[in-house]
This record gives sequence, C-alpha cells and structure tokens, in this order.
Amino acid sequence: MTDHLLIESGGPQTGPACERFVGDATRLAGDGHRVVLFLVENGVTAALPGAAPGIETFLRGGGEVWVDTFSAAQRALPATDLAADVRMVEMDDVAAKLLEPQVRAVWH
Amino acid sequence: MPGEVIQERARWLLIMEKAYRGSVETQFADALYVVPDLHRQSGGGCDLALRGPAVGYAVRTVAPQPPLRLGGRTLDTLPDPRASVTKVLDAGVTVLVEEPDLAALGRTAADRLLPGVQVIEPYGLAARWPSYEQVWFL
Amino acid sequence: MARPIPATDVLLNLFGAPHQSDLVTSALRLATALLDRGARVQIWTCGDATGLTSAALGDTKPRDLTDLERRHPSTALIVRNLLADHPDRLYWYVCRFCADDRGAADQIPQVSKRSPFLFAEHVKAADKALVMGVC
Repeated sequence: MTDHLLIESGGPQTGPACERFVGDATRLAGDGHRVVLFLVENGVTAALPGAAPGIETFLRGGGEVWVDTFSAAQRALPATDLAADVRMVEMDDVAAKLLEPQVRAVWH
Repeated sequence: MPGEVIQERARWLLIMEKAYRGSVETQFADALYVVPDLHRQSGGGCDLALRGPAVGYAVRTVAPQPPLRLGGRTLDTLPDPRASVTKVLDAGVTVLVEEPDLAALGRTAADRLLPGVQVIEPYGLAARWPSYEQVWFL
Repeated sequence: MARPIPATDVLLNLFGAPHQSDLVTSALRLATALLDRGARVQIWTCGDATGLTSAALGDTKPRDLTDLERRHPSTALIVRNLLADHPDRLYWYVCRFCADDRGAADQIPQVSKRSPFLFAEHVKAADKALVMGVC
C-alpha cells in the first residue's frame, strides 16, 4: 500500500473536474492506500457541507480531508461552517507531509 | 543531442483534462506538443490519459477544420489535436481514455476513436496511479 | 554545456498562469514552508508563469493611483528576494521555449533559463516533483 497526498485547488465550481479528482482519491482509498486530500484555494469550498458529495464518500472510505486555513480565511469560511470531519491545516503541515519519503503527491 | 534520456525507464502518467487552450496564440505549441519529447526524456516511460473535454482530442472529426480568416490574414496553422495525438501514438506513448468521457461526447464518439487509443473503465486510471513514479495533470 | 542541477527534495513545476487563480501564491507559500523545514527546492516555470521573473517587470507594480506614495513589489522582486533569502537551497528555472513564446525572454539574472529538453534532468534531481496548474 502507498501513501498519497492529493491536492485539489479548483473546487466544486470546476464541476466534473473536481468531482473526478475526488473520485480518484476515493478509488485510491478504497483500494487500501492511505490518502490525504488537501483542499486549497477555491478547493476549500468543497469542505462546505453538501458542496461536494464525493467528499463524504471519500471520508467514509477512510480518507482524510485537510483544509488550508489561509484559503478558508481568505474566502470568509470559518472552520465551524465546514464539514465536521475535516482538519484545518497550515502550509507547514502540507510541507511536512510532502517531505515524508513514502508520500506521493498530485496537484489538481 | 538535446538533453539526456533517463537511463532507467521512468514511469510517468500525464493526464490532460483542460482542452482547447487557445488556437490563435498556441498554433503548433499545444499541450500535446511536449508529450513525445517527455516520452523520450523519460526513456520511453510516458502514458497519456485524456480526460473530460480533452478526450475529444482522440476522436476523429467528421469534417476538416477550415482555416481562420482574421482580417486579411488566413491562419491555417491552428492546432490539430488529432494530428498531435497521432504523433504521440507514433512516438510510442500509450494513450488512454476513460469510457464515461467517451460516452459523454455523444453517441458516435466511440466509433470515431483514433486507432491505438485504449479505453479503460471508470476510475481505472486512479487504480493505476501507484504504479507510476509521477502523476501530473498537464 | 548545461550547468549541473543541484539535488533537491522537491521540484515545484509552476505551469499555470498568473492572475487566473491563487496558484502562484500557493506555490510560493509551499516553497516557503518547505524551505522553513530545511528542504532544498527547485522551481521550474512554464507558460505564462515564465513572466513572473521577467526583467521588464522591474521592482515595483504600477502605482496605486489611490495611494501614490505606497510601492508594491513586483513578482520579479519577490522572487529575487526569496532567492537571496535561501542562496543555497532554492533554485529557480525558466523554460526557455515558453519564455520566448510568451514574450518573457528577458529574465532577471537570478534565475536560469533552461531548454525544455532538460526537464527530465530536473525531475531526476528531485525526490518529489509536483506539476502545479496547466499551461
């Protein structure tokens, strides 16, 4: 099994593209890999409840959702308005994850 | 010889989903232009996946695209994605599309798929990601 | 003859265009976070991102007409300063083909223009490589 850091920057406004990428993350998690989905820039809006139904499926499948604190603040999204199961992170947390030797990262 | 080739065959998955990124300003230098050389640089290790609107690059047009007249100029050097995909295939790159994207392009799209392009199951790409060293959305 | 490429922990390939999203900001934030952790970082720009380090930008953005006394740094100055902050751990490369194609051939001297034929060498020199945005 492998560790993955998938980074979504576009969010639900990009329609199918975001949905597909979240679906990719779900497939990887479903196959037993450890997956962190990091939402950044407009991607953070996917953490609003109901905004991206695939996120719930991904979480249920064992994935972790990280939300960029900077992007959320920029977009006036308080953590309390976001889905309960997401983790607010700083870019330092992402850097630490990216530097873990076994982690593979994909930016979308 | 421009640039060395990686001695061990790398495994790079290149995914294109954003399509039609400028005709007049792009001309020959479309996103597919770099793929044959990336394949060479990787030691023959690139696979290309066309997703979403980009799947149309692998589907034959039903009529030739006419040149574009802009004022007194006739511009006949617009991008030709199907020719570009053919060059990519000829370079030895495996080209993949996911079945739902082909279906979304209309009832005759699958019949017009360029020879050599492989169709895989939904989310079949993601299942293969762990087998690649690099997965890049280009 | 091409200069040797320093070994790095991460290669950030900045392919997306400035002024379209927060991509450039994200790339610089991530680079800073990596550098703060002691990592060695390459940045390679393609497409319109090559304009970030265009010499034509000078040091400042055009003046804010509502606040004439205040100066705002250009991206070229921001990148120059970032490179000066990390002289041995941050390397910035600009795709020569894209720079020429997008009218940014004249680059600040602190960055290195590279042929796209050498891209794989840069990938090989890094433990991890991200492609951020599309050209």
